[in-house]
Order: sequence, then C-alpha cells, then structure tokens
Amino acid sequence: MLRYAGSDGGVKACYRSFLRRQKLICIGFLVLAALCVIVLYGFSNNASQSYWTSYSVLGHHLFGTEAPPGKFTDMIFWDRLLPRAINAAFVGGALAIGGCVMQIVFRNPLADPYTTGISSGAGFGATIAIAMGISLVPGLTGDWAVIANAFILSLVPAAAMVAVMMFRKTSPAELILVGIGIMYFFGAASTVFMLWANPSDLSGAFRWGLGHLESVGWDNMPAIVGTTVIGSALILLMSDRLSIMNSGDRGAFTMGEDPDRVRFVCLLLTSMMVAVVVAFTGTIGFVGIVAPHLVRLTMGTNTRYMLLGSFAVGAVLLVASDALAKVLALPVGVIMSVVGGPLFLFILVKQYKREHFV
Amino acid sequence: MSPLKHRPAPQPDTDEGFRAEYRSYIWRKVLFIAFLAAAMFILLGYSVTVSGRDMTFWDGIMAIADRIMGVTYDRAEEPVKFWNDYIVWNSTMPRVLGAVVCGAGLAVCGAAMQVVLNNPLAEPYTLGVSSGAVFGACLAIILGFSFGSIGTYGIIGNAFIFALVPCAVVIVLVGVMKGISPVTMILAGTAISYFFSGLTTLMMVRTDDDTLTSSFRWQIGSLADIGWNSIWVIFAGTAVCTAVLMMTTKYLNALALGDRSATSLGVDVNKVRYTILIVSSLMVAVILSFTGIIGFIGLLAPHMVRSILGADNRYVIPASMLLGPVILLFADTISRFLAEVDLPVGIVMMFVGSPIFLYILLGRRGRRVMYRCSDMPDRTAASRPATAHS
Repeated sequence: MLRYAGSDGGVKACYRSFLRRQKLICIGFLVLAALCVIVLYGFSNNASQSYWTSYSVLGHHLFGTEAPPGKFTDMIFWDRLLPRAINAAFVGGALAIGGCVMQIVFRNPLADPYTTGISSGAGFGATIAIAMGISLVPGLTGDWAVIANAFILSLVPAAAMVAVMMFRKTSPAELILVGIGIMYFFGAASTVFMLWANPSDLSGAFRWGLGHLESVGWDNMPAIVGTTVIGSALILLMSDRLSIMNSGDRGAFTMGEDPDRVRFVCLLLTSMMVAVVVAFTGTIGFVGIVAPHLVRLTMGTNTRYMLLGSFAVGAVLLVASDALAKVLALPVGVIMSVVGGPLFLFILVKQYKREHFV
Repeated sequence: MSPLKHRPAPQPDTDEGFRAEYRSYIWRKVLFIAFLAAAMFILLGYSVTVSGRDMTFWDGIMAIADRIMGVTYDRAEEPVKFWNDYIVWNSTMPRVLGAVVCGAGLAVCGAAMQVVLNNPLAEPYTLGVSSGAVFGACLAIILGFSFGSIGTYGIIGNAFIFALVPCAVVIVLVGVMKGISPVTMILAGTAISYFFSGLTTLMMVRTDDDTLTSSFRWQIGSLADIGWNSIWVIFAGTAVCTAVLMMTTKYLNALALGDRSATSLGVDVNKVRYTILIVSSLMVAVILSFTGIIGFIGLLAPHMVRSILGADNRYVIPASMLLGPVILLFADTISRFLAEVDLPVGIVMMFVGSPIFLYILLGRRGRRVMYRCSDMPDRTAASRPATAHS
C-alpha cells in the first residue's frame, strides 16, 4: 500500500485489487458451500448404499438417466438427504448473515441472530406444544403445531424490542439488554413447563431446543429457502448503510444516515428471517455467532463481502456438520460445538494480533 | 439530557464548592449502601420465618436471637418456641444464608466482570464456568464418573473441578498472550463453553429420559440442598474472594476508561485483569457447584446499582454485594412461598428479575450513561481519577 501512496491512481488501483481479492475469497466461499452440498449430500445414508448411488439418483431426477434399482434408494436420496443438505445450507447461511448483521448493528461481538430473544420465544412455543399439547393456531397438531407455535411466539420478543425502539431512544447496549431481559423471561417460562412435564416430554422439548435438520423435507423447503433468499437479498442491499454503522452512531450521523432507523430495519428483517428458520429447525446455535467471526478473521471487515462471506461460511459449517451428524447419528448442534469450538479457539489464538474486531 | 439538569449547578471556580459537591456525591452513595444493608437484614429476618410453619416476623427474630444468646428450650415445656427454633435453625437458616452468600458472590462477580471484560452483557458465567460445571455434574449424574467420593459430593466435586477448566484456558491465554483484548477473551470463553456444552448435550441425548430429567434439574439453580455443611464452604470461598475483589475496586474505575488510559494512569492492566478473572472464577465455581446455575443475578444486580448510583466502581461493587442478596433472598422467599408448585429459585429469579431489569432499562433513570464515570463531579472525571493509583 505504501508503495503507491504518492499517486492517486496507484491508491485506486491498490484499493481495487484489495476489493478484487475479497471478492475472490467471497466467491470461493460460495463455491465451497455449493460443493459441500453436492459432495456431502450423499455421504452418509444409513442404508448401506455406495456413495455414487446418490449421484445416479440425482442424475435420474434431473436429466432422466437410468435410475438405480429400488424405490427405497430413491426415497432416501431424493426425498430425505437432498432436501436436508440444501436446507442445511440455507439455514446455516440465514443464521450466519443474521448474526453478522446483529454484530454490526449492536456493535457487540457476542451478538448472534437470537440476541433479540427469538430463540427463547420459539423455545417457549415449542415447549408448550410438546409438553402441554397447546396449539396457538387452532386445529393444528403434532409437528405443525410446534412449528406454528414456535414461529408466532418467536416474534413476540422481537416485537417487544421493536416497540421499545419506536417509543424510546435507546443505545445499542441497552437494546441488547432489553432483549436479554425478555429472553430470560421466556426462558424461565419454558423451564417451568419442562420441569413440570413428564420425562419423555421433557426429553422431546430438550431435543427440539438442540436444533434438528432431519425433519425438513421438500414440503418445508420453499418456506425456508424463500425467506432466506429474500431476507439475505434485502440485507445485502443495505450493506452500504451497514458499513456506515461500523463507524459508530455519531459517525453514521455525520454521514447522513440515521443509525436508529438502520438498526430498526435490520432488526425487523433479521427477526423475520430467523423466526422462520427457527420454527422449522429449532435453535441451532454456534453458527450465527462464529461464522461472522471466522469471516472477519480471514477476510477483514469490508461489510459487503463480510455479509456474503458469512452466508457462505455459515452454509459450509452447517452442511459439513450435518454430514458428520448423519454419520455419527448425533444432533447437529453437538457436532458443531464439539468440533467447531476448539477450531474457533485455534483461529482466534492464531489471529489475535490483527485487530479485526469492531 | 444534560447531566446538569438533575443536579444543582456546580461551582467549579471555588475549591470549597467543589469539595462540598464531592462530599454530597460520596454521602449519597454511602447512604444508599447503608439502606441496602438494612433492607438485607430485614428481609433476612422475614425470610427465615417462611416455611410450612406459622410464624410471625418477631418469632423468627427471637429464634435467631435466642440461639445466638445461647438460650435453649425444652421440647415438652415450650413446644412452640422449641419447634420455631428447630425449623428456623435447621431448615430455613442455612438456605437463607446460602441465598445471602451466593447472591453477594454472584453479584460482585458480575459487576467486576462487566468492567474487566468491558461489556455490559458480561456476567459471572461469561468465561464458560457454567458450561464446565454442568459438564462435570452430568459426568457424575449420567456416566457415574467422579473424582473422589460417590453421590452428591461426587457431583459437587466434579462440578467444581470442571468449572475451573474453561476459565483456566482463558486465563492461560491472558497470561501467555500479552495485550489480549477483552473481546478476544470473551470469544475464547464462548468457544470453550460451546465445546463443553456440546459434550454435555452429547451425554444428555444418549441417556434415558429419567436421567435426563435429573441432570436437567441440576442445571436449574436451587438453594434447597444447602445445609450447614455446605454453607461454610461457600461462605469461606466467597468471603476470601470478595475481599480480594474489594481491594481491586480502586483500579476498576481506571480500567473502565479503556486499557490505554488505565495504563497511562499507572495501572497494570494485565495484572488487575488477571487477578480479577482468577478470583471470580474460583468464587463462581464454588457457588455453582453447590447450587447449580442461578442465572441473571450477576447481570441484574450490577445494572440496577449502576442505574441508581452511577458507574463509580468504588461504590458499585459494595452496593452490588448487598443488592445481590436482597434480590436472591426475595426470589428464594417467593420460591418457598410457592413450595407446593415446585419452583426452584433459579426460575423465580428469572421471572422476578426480567421485569425489574426491563423497568430499570426503560425507566427514566436507566438512560444515564452507565459505563463511564460521567456522573462524577467534573474535576474527578476522566481527567483526574485521583483514586486510581493511590
């Protein structure tokens, strides 16, 4: 950089090459995510099928090539594993980009997509559906009652926060604390119901909270993918404003942007997007907080690419952990925490000198 | 809102005016702390009488006073007094004292952590103590593996030992890497807690429903199991650690200004941070291994104090130490009132705490700046914290 400091054109060229590099890394991550979905999707079928069978099933459905024998094989690969892998990618992406936005607008490295209390509201909804059999939407039973409850109640904390923002001027730190307060309330409520439930219902509610990707199929896919794509696109459209937010509230004011308004819109967008995802998959932790940090550590803090990079890294993380989870027959959250935790620590320690944090 | 609005205009030109204002500033805080102490003792006196037995406030006070004076009752002659004394001393008293000690420890810890980690979201469990403790407890409950003895003490021992593991990692990081930022510390804590909670979840998923229930129950903070044996251990641990933390409070104001300012004021930032992290981890580990995770108090008490007193840490820490017990006693009393519906204090704490928390955040006074010493009289503000290196 210093070399070019004399000439204006040199600086511009240097900046362009810097951007190009980030763009390349970003695209690399996205390609990696797509590859992950393709490579890992057939990786672990509990039926004893060979790895390549998965691709002949895929070929049959997409290009009409000769189908492998057996309806069962077809069902496993086409109806179970493929939607699961694709959903995992989009869920991971949505959570990661949500986490990234939250960390930027709240300027807090601990923020994650659930900071507004979404997870606690959803958990409460799921718990009352599982343990008490209560459905907020009349007529629904079973899994759909859980999903509807989780979605409706996950919006309550977010709505409360939005109301607070509308009627009061609050700093980001106070806003987060409001979210935490609401989160504790709902958390306590679901703990009470879990405590009073019989052990098998408790186990069900507990498992719901761990996050699960096995229940997503072609039928829930449009909801998850659609919301994620729309939400992420809108967030990416706001990336310039978000990067202004990085310079603090006063900085944003001097650049002609109302930080409260940006915060408000981002909160609303993220909440809606994450609420849909959470309703279907339960609260999958880790990816939302760690993926943005991984991007920040490897790529720097250029907001536009950071958002896109978070999406890609989140997708890679969740698809890869889900593949491992399938092999080991464990919840995906466990895999991510146990493998990803130390990995994250390692990267953190290696990179601690570079001051990439907001 | 200008900070001058709710205070008489200072007269910075006269030295006398400044001194008077500073004195009244100190006086208000001391008064508040005294008020909290009184509130704590009254609540304590009331709380011991809440049990299945019908007792008035004075019965409880008399029972305590008589025991201290060495008066004993005969079971046949004065059955009412005998049973009052028996219930108070054997059943409610250890639990009430437990609430006082745990509340004080967790609140002080939270207050110190928020300053040291420079994050209003920090609480005693931020560095991963709780995840380690839960892992240890689950190891004993689910797999039956424990260091030393079996049963309850095995769980306590395991929880204590494993609670120290995540903090040990973070503290070693702080020691090895000079100039590590609080953000990195928090993230390291987060990473380690994810690791441990992942392992815990692994155990909980693989076990049967009944064992899952009992390990789930362990995690919800409860004071029901505290007896005289355990109270001494908790008290000793908390007292020593709190004393050490109290000695560091004068550096905390400097630390709250940021690392660079603190260093330029002559504070050895790393040393202070190191001491506080070690001491508070130890204290929380002791408390946690006996009670399970009592959440929120470490966040609520310091924030309440800050919203009332302002951010001067010389007073925030002692005031938190008194407000924590008041809140936890209150929650525990409610939990004993509702004995038949079985609500552990950890849950009551969250129910009671979150509305209060939201109120102080959204109430008028909550809007003051809470993390800098900006409400101090002008001359002692950032430009001259004379207490920092005295």
